Amino acid sequence: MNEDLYWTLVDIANGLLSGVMLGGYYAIIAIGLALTFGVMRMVNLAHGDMLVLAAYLAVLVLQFVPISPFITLALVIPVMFGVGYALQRFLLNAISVQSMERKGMSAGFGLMSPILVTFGLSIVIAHALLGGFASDARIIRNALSYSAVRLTEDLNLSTLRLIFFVIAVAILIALHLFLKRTHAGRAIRASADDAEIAPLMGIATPKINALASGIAIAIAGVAGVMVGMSRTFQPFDGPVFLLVAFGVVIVGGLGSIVGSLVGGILLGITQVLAGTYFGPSAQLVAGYILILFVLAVRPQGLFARRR
Amino acid sequence: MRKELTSVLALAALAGSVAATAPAPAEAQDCSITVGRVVPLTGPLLDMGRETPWLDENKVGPINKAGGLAVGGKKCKINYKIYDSRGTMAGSGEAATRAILKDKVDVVFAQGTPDTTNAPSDLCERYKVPCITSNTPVEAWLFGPDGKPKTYKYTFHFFFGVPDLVANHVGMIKALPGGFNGSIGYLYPNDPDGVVFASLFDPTFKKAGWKPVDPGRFKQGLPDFSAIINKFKRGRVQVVTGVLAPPDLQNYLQQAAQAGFKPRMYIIDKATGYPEAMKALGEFGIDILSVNFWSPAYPGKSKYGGYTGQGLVDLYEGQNAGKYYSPPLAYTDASYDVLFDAMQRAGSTDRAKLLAALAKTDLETVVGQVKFNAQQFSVQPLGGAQWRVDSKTKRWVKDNVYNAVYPSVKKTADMRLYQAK
Repeated sequence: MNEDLYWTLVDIANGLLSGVMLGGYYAIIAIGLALTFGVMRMVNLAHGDMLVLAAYLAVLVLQFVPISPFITLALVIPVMFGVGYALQRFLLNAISVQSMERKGMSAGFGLMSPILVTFGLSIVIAHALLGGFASDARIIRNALSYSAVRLTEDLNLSTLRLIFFVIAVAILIALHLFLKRTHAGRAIRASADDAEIAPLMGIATPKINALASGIAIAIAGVAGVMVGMSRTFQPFDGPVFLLVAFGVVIVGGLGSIVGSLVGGILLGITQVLAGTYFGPSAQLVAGYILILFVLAVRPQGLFARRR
Repeated sequence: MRKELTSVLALAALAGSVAATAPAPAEAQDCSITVGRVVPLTGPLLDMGRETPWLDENKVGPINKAGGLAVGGKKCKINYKIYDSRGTMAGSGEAATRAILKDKVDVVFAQGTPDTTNAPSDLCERYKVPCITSNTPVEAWLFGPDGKPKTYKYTFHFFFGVPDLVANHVGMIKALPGGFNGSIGYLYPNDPDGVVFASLFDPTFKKAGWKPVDPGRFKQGLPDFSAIINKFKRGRVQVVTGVLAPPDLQNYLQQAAQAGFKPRMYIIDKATGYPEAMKALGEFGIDILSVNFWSPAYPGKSKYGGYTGQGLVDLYEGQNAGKYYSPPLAYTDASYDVLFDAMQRAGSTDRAKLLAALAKTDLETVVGQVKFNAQQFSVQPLGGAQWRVDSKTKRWVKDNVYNAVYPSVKKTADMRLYQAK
């Protein structure tokens, strides 16, 4: 085969394959945010720092017991769930729109407060990690980070990203079923849709919100361990992941859990193809252009339902 | 602990002066000098401040214990104060301002990239305080934003220079074992280091007759390197060179390994300067080449410590189990030596006399001979570094594998091809 033609095909195939895999990685970072921001309508600016916190937690565990990083999830998931649950129950519930109105303050405070509080929390977490671990670049050691599934001589899939993709899909399906089919899931959606009426229907909104937040942070914990396995991280890396997650949620659509996978994949493919054809400097720019485009043409995102 | 120590020292000094009553009783108390050290202790450049305060304690402690440094017939007590630059331009400016205006230190030391040396240098010029800086390439310290060399009167600088760096890297590529097909891949990001490196190296490589494969400048934190790697494969690249931060290098190396791309040589600066970052990188960091801006292979002996570079490293690693030396250890040691030597030659701590003496510095230190020129800098040697993991101790070791530019820096191993499996 002609060499130019061969490389053209390799470039396109690589763009699609790497893009889809990158999308799975993005989706896993974004699912937690899609749940809090999309379903609960609350902006958690500490989302990225929660990821980094979970990654450090895994590092800590691995220092004492040399096990597979995937097994650390058995500890990371419940701990992060507890963090999310407690955060919502004892901090964020106290500054929600309803509790602000109960205190006689305007609802605007209730919309702003979580943003300010989680922003503060983000700084506190980053500095606590700096204090505890110093600013060394860390990575969660694992046997897979350099391995790949070779398709042809010049086409390959990163083993880790393939695993992330599968995990992202599994979490998405589980979460989707949970929200649609279970009582707790319906209660989460109900309290998000109308926080005034839900309690009248017998839903304990503070507990339900705490449950949703716990799930969101637990998923962020899974994402943190995955991210930590594939790249080095430092205490102040949180905002990077927050930005990625926001991008994915905007493209995929507010309130749509499935949207985060599609949003992630679109973002991934756009970036890799732009990088191939317009040089690596275009890679991230293309992602932002996609986000702007979606905001301009379909501000509710691709998969959001109109309300 | 340190407070107790100083009070004990003060008591000892007092006792000494009382006992010695006769000729000059108060003189021992008269002379003291305070050094304000601006160091990145937190933030992105933290690796460049790890010798603090061990080195200060170790350097100043014994001298003070002996009653002080002999300066013009007096015994001079050396104090030091440490200020965190947070690794940023703003943080280092703040730290130096605090040192100069609030604490009124006599001398400022600043170290570690333009972000932490340049603002203190400018402030020292403005407030006319003697200043010694290091660990920033000379040109990055010398040239102002207008591209013209600044005129320094109070600041003295010593580190390697850019022309030597270029000569070193070109020399290393020419020495590639088994010959070179001329195809060289660039990994220069779109940040100040990447842009400057590209503008320095690109014309030089082309002049050497090599064919660059340049994917262009990219933003730090690039998620996907597969397109770049395919370009390298397509261009049959044998040497990859660049200047990358640790997360980018990690990400790139993983994806290159996944794609089965293995050049014969990597010359990557920045992420490879410090052992902590190499440890995080793991086995794929082995055999990567970079500039060696200090290792115990450097020539020279400390006048006030009595040790060679190796001696200093042994002392540090012996007293800090499990830790690694890093180059600022040597440069800070040399900074103190330069100051002590100038004080002794000046015979006084008077500012004007001290500055005049600093300008005439010609001193052997653990980073080689320091001799300031009319523009108040001294160009130190450099070499070519290559990392390996010692098979017995399992510790990361930085070999000096290329020394054609400065033969005085010992060659400690032969250059190896990039081997990762």
